Amino acid sequence: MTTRLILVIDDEDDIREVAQLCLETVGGWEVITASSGQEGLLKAAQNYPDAILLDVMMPELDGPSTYARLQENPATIDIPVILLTAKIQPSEQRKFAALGVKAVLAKPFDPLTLASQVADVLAWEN
Amino acid sequence: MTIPLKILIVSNSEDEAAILLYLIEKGGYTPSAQQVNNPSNFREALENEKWDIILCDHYLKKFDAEAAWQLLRDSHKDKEIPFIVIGSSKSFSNFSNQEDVVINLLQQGITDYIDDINHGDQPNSPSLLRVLARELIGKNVRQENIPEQLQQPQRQRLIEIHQQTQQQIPKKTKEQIKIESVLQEREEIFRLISQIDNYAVWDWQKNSNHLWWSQGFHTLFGYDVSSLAITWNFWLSLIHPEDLSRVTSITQEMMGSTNTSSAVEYRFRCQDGSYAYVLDRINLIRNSQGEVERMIGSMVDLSDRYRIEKTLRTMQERYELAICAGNVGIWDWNLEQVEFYIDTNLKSTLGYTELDIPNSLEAWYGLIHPEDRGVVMAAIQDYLEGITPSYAIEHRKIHKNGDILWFLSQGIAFSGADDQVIRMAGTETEITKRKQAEAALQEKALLLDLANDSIIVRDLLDRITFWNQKAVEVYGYTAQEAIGRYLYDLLPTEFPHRLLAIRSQLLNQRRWEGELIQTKRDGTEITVSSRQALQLDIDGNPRQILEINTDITAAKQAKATLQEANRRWQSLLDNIQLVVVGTDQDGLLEYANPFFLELTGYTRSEILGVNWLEKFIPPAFHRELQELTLANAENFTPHYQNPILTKVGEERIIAWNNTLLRNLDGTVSSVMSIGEDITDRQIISRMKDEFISVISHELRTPLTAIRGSLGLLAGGFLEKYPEKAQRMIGIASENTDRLTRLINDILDIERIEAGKMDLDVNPCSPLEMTQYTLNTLQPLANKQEVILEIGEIPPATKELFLLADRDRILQVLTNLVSNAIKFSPPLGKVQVTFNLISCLTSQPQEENSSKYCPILPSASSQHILFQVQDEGSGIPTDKLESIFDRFQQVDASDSRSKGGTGLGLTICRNIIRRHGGAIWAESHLREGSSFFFSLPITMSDSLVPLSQSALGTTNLPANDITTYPPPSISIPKSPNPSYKILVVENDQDLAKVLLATFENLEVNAYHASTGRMAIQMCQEIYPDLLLMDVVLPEGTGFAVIDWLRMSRSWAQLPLIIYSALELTPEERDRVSLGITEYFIKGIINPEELGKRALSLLGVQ
Repeated sequence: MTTRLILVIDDEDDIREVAQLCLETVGGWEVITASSGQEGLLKAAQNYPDAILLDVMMPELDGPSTYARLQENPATIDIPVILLTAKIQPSEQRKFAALGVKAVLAKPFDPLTLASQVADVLAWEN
Repeated sequence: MTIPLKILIVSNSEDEAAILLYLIEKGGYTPSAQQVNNPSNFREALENEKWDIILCDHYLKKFDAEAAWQLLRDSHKDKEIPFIVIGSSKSFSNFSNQEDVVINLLQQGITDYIDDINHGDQPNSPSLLRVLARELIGKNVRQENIPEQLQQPQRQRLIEIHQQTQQQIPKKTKEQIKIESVLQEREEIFRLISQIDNYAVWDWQKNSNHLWWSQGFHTLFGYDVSSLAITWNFWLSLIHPEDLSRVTSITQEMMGSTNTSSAVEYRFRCQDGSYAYVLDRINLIRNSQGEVERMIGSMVDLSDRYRIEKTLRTMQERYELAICAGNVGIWDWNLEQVEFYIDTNLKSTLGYTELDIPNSLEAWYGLIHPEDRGVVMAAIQDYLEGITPSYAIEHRKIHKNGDILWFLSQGIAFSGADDQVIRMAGTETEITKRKQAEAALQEKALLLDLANDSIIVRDLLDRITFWNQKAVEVYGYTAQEAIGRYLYDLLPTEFPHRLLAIRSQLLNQRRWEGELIQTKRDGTEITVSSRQALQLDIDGNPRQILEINTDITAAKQAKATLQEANRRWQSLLDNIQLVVVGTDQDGLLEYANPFFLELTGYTRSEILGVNWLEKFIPPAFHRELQELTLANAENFTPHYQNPILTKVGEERIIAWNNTLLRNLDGTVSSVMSIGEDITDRQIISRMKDEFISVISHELRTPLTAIRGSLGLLAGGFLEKYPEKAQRMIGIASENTDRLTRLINDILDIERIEAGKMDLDVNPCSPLEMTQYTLNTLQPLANKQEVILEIGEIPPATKELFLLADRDRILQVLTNLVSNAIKFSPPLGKVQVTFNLISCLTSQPQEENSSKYCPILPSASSQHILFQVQDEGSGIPTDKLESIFDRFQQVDASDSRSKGGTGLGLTICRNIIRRHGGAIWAESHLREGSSFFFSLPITMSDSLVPLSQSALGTTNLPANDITTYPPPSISIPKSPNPSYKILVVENDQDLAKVLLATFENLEVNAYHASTGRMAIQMCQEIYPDLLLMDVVLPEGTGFAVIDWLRMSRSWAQLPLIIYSALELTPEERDRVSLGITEYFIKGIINPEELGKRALSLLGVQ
C-alpha cells in the first residue's frame, strides 16, 4: 500500500485541523493543509498531492476559483479535486459538480468515513 | 122618400162598394147593388138585370174600366146605362198622366169619371151625387136632394167638357133638344176654364177660319191673347218650320179620316222668339153631316222634359268621350220605352263585338257574374225606390274568355215631369287592377303586421290612421283603440328636439329620424329609433306621416351596460398595477396601459405600432420568444416570464399571462398580455435564497468542526493520542459556543425585523454607557494590545442625558468597539467620543474621505452622535454600506477568526434605527475606520417631550438640556387652540412681554430663546406663525429660516421678523417664507405686534 498525500484547503482552522486528523488517523494518509486558495495553489504545485480536498466558501480566492487556477496550471491539472461545502442546496451542488471536480462532499462530514469516501471517489484500492 | 136605384158595382173592394152605397143612400136613393170584379160575372150581371147605373173602378186586378166599357158596348143590351168610372189616386202618380187616361176614357164614351171618392178625409160624395142626379134626370129620379153648395172642381169641369163634346154627336142625333143652348153654355164654360194657366187651349172654327186661344198662351208663351184674333195660317206660322209639315200632315190626316183625336209634339214659337216644346192634343169636331166644323187643341209645355232629355244627350256625349279616354263603358236604360243601350266600349272591354251583345236589359244582366246579379239588381231597385240616395256597386263581370273582371257600376236616374223615373243611365268602370291593388295592399298590410317594427300612420293632425300588429304588441293598444286617437295623447312622448322642429323637418325634407322615448299603455317607457316620412298625395300635397319605430330599449340598456363595463375595464386598465399590452398578428403593439408606460418610461405615442420583440425584448430572449408568437398559435403559451427593456435600458422581469383574442370566425387576431413586474420580487427571492444559503453555511461550519472532532473521538482513533483528543474536545467546545452566538444573533435579528423588539426606554447617560463598554472590553483590548480611550467631549455634553434602551445601546457600543479592537493592529488605538448635534450642524465634509452620511431623521433636531474610531486596515468604499447587511463582513474569515457571526452590524443598525437614529461608517483605507451612530435626545416615535414626566423620574441636573422654559410650552391655556405662535427671542424680558400679550389675546404662544430651539420647537408644536428676532444665539434667524425653507411643510409659514436695525432687501429675502412682515425693534410696541400677528393668522 502506497502512502497517499492529501492537500486540505480550508480557511476554517478548526475544520482544517479536524479533517487533517481524520484523514491521517482513519485513512492513514499523509496530509498537508493550506488556509487559503492562494496557499493551496502554492502547496499543490510544490507537493503534487494525490488529491486535494477543497473548501468552497473562502474569502478572496474561493473554492471554484482555486480549482480553476489548478486546472490552468499544467503542474496541477491532473490532481484530482474533491470539493467540500456547507452549501447543500441541490442547485449549488449541481453547479459545483459541473465544474469538473471528482466529487462534492457535504459538510458536516462523517470523520470516520471521510477517507473511505475519498478513496471510493478516486477508486483507490486500500 | 127615396128613389130606388139598381146599381152594379165593378170593384175588387167590398169596402169601396160599401162606401159608394153609403154615399148614394145618403143622397136620397135606395140602392140595390151587386158587386162584380171580373169580365165574366160583369157580363153575367148585364145579362140578368137591368141596371140604373154602373159604377166601375178604374183599375181592378184582372179587369179595368176600359174593358168593362167595351163589354158594355158590345153587349147591345142597354148601351144607355150610365157608366161611371171611379178613379183612384193610387192609379196615378200625377195629374197630367191621369188626365190623359181620363180623357181617353171619356173619348171612348164613358158617362163620367169621378175622382177618388175616398180621397182625403171627406169622401168625394158631392161629385158622385151630382153625376147621379144629372144622369138620372130622364129617369124620374128626384133631384131636390142635390145639395146647392156643390161646386165642381175646375178640373172636373174640364173633364166634363171633354166628355160632353165627345158625346155630343151621338146625343144630338138622338136627342135634338137643347143642343144649341147646351153647347153655348158649355162654350162659355170651356172658355172660362181655358183661362187656367199651364194649359194653352186653342179653338179653330173652320167656317170663320178664326182661331181662339186661351189665357194659357199668355202664361206659357207670352202672347197677348185678348188683342189677337188669329187665323189658322198664323197659327201654323208659330210652329217651328222643321215640325210644321209633321203637324199639318197630322191635321190633314185627321180631317181625311174618322180619327177625331191625335197628339203631336212640336216646337212652338214663343212671343220672345224662342221655341217651346209642346204636346198638343188635337180634337177634330165634325157637325152632324160629318163635316169638319172645328178643331180644338190642348197644349202642354214640354220644354222641361226636353231640357232633361237634351241634358241626357249631352251627358251621353260626355260619357262617350269619357269612355274613349278611359276604361269606362256606359249603359242607358230608357224605362219609358223599355230600351236598353250598352255601349261598344263596355262590350269590347268584355271581349265582345258590338253585334255579340244585343242592346237589352237582359243582355246587360247576363254580363254580370251570376253570383253578383242579385246584389246589382237589388242596388238598382233600392236606388229607384229612393231607399238609397245613389247607385254605385262593385261587382264582377265575365269576360268572353272566361276571365272575371271587376267593375264599378254607377248610375243616375232621371225623372220625367211627373217624377216617374223615365230613364236611368250609368257607367261601368273596370276596376280589376284597383281590386288587385287592393288585394295586394291587404297583403302588404298583412306584411306590415308581420313587420318587426311598430308601423304607425298618422294624418297631418297626428291622428292615427294605421297601427300594425307590432305596435299592438309594443304599446299595448289594439288597432281599434289606437286608430283615430291623437298619437301623442295615446303615447306620451319625449322628443330629442322641439316637436315643432320635427314637424318642420318632416314638411320640408319629408323625412325625420331620431330617438323617441314613449310611454306605453302600462306606463313603462321604451326608447325607439323612429324613422318618419311624409307622404304626399298625387297633387303633391302632404297627406300623412308614416312612422316606423324600432324598439331599442334593450339595445340602449345593453349599450349602457357595455359602456359601464367598458368604463370599468378602462378604469381597471388605467389603474391596475399590472402591465397590460396588446399586440396584433404582426407583433406590433396595439395597446399599452398607463402602468406599462409608467414602468417603461415611454409615452403611448412613442410605442404604439412598434414591433414588440425588437423594441422591448433583450436580444438574448428573441429566439426563445419568437417561438411564442402568433405564428405558432397552436403552441400558444399562456404563461412565461421574460425581461423587458425600459426606455433607459433597464431590464424588468415580467411574468406574463397571455390571452389570444379571436375574431368572430375564430381566427386569432391579437394577443392581450397581462404582466406582473416581478423584478423586485425576484431580487427579494434571490436574496432570500442567498440568505438561506449563507445562513446554512454559517451554521454548518461550526457544526462541521463539532461533528468532525467528536466523531474522531467517538471512533476511538485518538485514544493513542491524548493531546490530539484534548484538542478535538477544545475545538468542539469552541464551535459549540460559536454556534450558540450565531443562533442568538439570528434570532435577535429576526425578532428586531419582525418588530418584536421592545425597547426599555429610560434616560441614559452617554458618558456612562461609553465608560461601561470600554471597561467591559478592556480585557479584550489588553489581549489584542489595543489602546482603548474616550475622546475629547465638551463638559456640557458629558452631562447630557438621552432617552434610550440602555442594554441595546450597550450592545451596539460593544459590537462596534469589539470590532474596532479585533481589526486594530497591535498597539493601535480605539477611540470613542460622543457629541451633541442638531440638524443645523451639517456633517463634516472632508475631501478624499469616503463616508456614508444618511439623512438624519428630522423628528428631533438634537442628537447624541457617537463615534468609534480605529486605526485598522479600513473598509473599501464599496463596502461601507453593505457591511451593515447580514453576513457581509468585509472579510468573513477575519470576522470569524475573531469570533464574529457576520450579523453584528446588522443588529446594530436595527437597534439604532429602532431608536430613531442612524448608523454609518467612514473609512480611509490603511488609516482606519470610524463608525458613527446618532441617537435623538427625545425619542421620535414616542414624542415624549422633555417635560417633568420624563425628567422628573430621574434626578437629572437641570442644565443645558432643560434650558427651555417648560411651563410656557407645556400648558397651552388658550380657548383657541387652533393657532400657535412661536416667539423666538433671546431677551427674556421682551419674551415675557410678548408671551403675556398673546396670552391676553387668547392665542397659544410658545417661546424659544435660541435658533436651535426654534427649529426644534417648530418640529414639536408646528406653529402657525413665527415671531422672531433676527439676532439669536445658536443659529441666527437667517439660519432658522434657511432650515425651515428646506422643508416643504414650512414653506408658507407666516413670519413676523423684527430686528434692531433695518434689513436690506437681500436680508429680507433671506428671512421670508410665507407672508412675512418686518419691523424694527422699538418702533413697534408689543400690542401692535400682537395685533399684526393676529391679522396674519386671520383672527380678528
